[in-house]
Amino acid sequence: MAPELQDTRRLEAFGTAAVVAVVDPSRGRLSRAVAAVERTVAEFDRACSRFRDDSELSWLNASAGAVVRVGPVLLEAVGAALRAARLTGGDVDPTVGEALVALGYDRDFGELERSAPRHTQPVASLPGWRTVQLDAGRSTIRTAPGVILDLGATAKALAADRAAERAFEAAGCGVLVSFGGDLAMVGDAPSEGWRVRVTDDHRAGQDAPGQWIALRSGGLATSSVAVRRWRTRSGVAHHLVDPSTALPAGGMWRTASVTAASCLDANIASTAAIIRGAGAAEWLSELGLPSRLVSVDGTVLHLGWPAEGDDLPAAPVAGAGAQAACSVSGLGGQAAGSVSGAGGEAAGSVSGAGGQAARSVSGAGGQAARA
Amino acid sequence: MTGRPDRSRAALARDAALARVSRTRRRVIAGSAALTAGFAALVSAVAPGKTLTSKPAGRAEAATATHSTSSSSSSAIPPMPPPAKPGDLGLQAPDQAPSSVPDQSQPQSIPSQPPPSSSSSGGGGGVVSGGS
Repeated sequence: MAPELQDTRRLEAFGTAAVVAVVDPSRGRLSRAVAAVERTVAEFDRACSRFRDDSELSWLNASAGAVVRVGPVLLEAVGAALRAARLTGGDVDPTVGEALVALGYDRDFGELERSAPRHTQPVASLPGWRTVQLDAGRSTIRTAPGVILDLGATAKALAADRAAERAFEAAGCGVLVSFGGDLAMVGDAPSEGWRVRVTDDHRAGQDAPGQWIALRSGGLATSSVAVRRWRTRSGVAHHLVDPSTALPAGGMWRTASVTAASCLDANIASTAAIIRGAGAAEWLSELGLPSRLVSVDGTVLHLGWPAEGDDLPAAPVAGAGAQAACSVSGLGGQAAGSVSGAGGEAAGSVSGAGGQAARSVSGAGGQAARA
Repeated sequence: MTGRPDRSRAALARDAALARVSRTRRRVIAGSAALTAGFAALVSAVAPGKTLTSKPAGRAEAATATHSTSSSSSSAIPPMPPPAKPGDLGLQAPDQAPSSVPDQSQPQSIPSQPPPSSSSSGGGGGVVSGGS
C-alpha cells in the first residue's frame, strides 16, 4: 500500500518555477531529494545553458564548425534533441538557436522581458538538425559553422527525468519533479496519484482556468505559445519556433499537454503538437499519447485524456467519430482525424486538416512577429 | 639364337620408357595439385569473401548469413549493431493514462508565486503544469 504522506518544496530552476515532491517526507527524505535535484540542475545548467558564457553549449556554439569533445550531460542532451528531431520529422529542431537570436531572444528571458523592444531581422531558413554530427563513442559533437544550438525544448525535460531518478534514489520513496510544468514521476505515487493542475502558464497558480488530473508515473509536459512572449519593434514573438519557417509557430493550438513514459517524450510530443497545428491530433492519436490540446479560441480537445472537470469548453468537432476523439478511450487515428477546424477560424485560415496546411496559418504570435 | 637377346633388350628399353612416362605423369599430377592448392590458399588470404562472378542478391545474402553463423570469428564480417533501446524506437506512451480528479472544490493551497529562494510548503496539494 502506498504511503499517504507527501510534501513538496519549491525552488527556481532553468528560469522557471520548480517543484520537488516526495510521497513520504519523514526522515529527511525531502531534503535529500531536493539536494539531488539541485545537483542535477547545476549540471544541466553548466552544460546546456545558451545564456552562460562558461557553459559547454556556449563553447560548442562558438566552435565555428570544429569537432568539440563534450561531457556526458551535453552529449546526452544533444543526443536527445537529435532524437526529438528524428521522431518528429524535424518539427522539434535544436538548430533553432539562430532564429531565436534573430528574433531577439539572445539573453536570459527575465532580462529580455525587462528590455525595450528591439528591431529584429528573422533568418530566412535554418541549417537543420542533420548538420549536427554527434559521435557518442568519441564524445564529440560537430556543428556546421554559424549554427547555434538551442536545447530548451528538450534539455529541461531530460533534466526532469534525470533529477527524478536521482531524487528517487536519494529519498528512497516516490518522487515528483517539475521544472516549469514539465513533470517526471518515479517510484510509488500517492494512493490517489499525483494531483496536477493543467493550464496555460505554469506560474498561473491553481485557480487559473484548466483541469485537475491525477498521474501515477512517467512524464507530463505542457507547451504553450501563451507564455515566454516578448515584444519586438515588429510585434510580439514567442519561443516556439517553427523550423520550416524560422518564425514563431502560428497555428491552431495555444497550449498542448501530453503524458508519456518519460518527461522527455512528453515534451517532444507537446512541442511538436504546437508546431504541427491541425495535424497534431491525428499524430498524437497514432502514437497513443494521451493529450489535451487547447485551441487559440480557448476550446479544448481531449485525446485519451479525461474530459471531466475541465474548465474550458470542448472544441467543436464534426463527423461521426468526433465524440470518440474527445472521449477517454478515443485514441484511434480515424476518430481523431475526423476533427475539423477546432479553433481554426480563430487561428485565421486553416484549410484542411493536414500538417502542411496548418503551417501556413498565421497565428497570433507568428503573425505579429512577421509583421 | 642371336635374335632372342635383341628382343629382350628391346623389351627392357620399352619397359624403362614406359616407367619414365608413368613417373612423369605422376609428378605432373602431383605438381598440378600442389600448385592449385597453393594458388587457392593465396587467393583466399588476399581476397576473402570475393567472387569473380556476380550472384543474385538472395543467394549472396544467404551465403553471408551462412558464413556469419559458421565462422563468426572472421574479421571481414562487420559486427552486428547493438540492440535498439526502447527510447530509440519512438515516443513511448505512459503505463497509465491520466485520470480525472472528481472533487477539487477545496484544493490544498500551494502559493502560486513561489518565493525567490527555496522554501518548504508542506502538505503537498498539487502541482501546476503549464507552459514555461
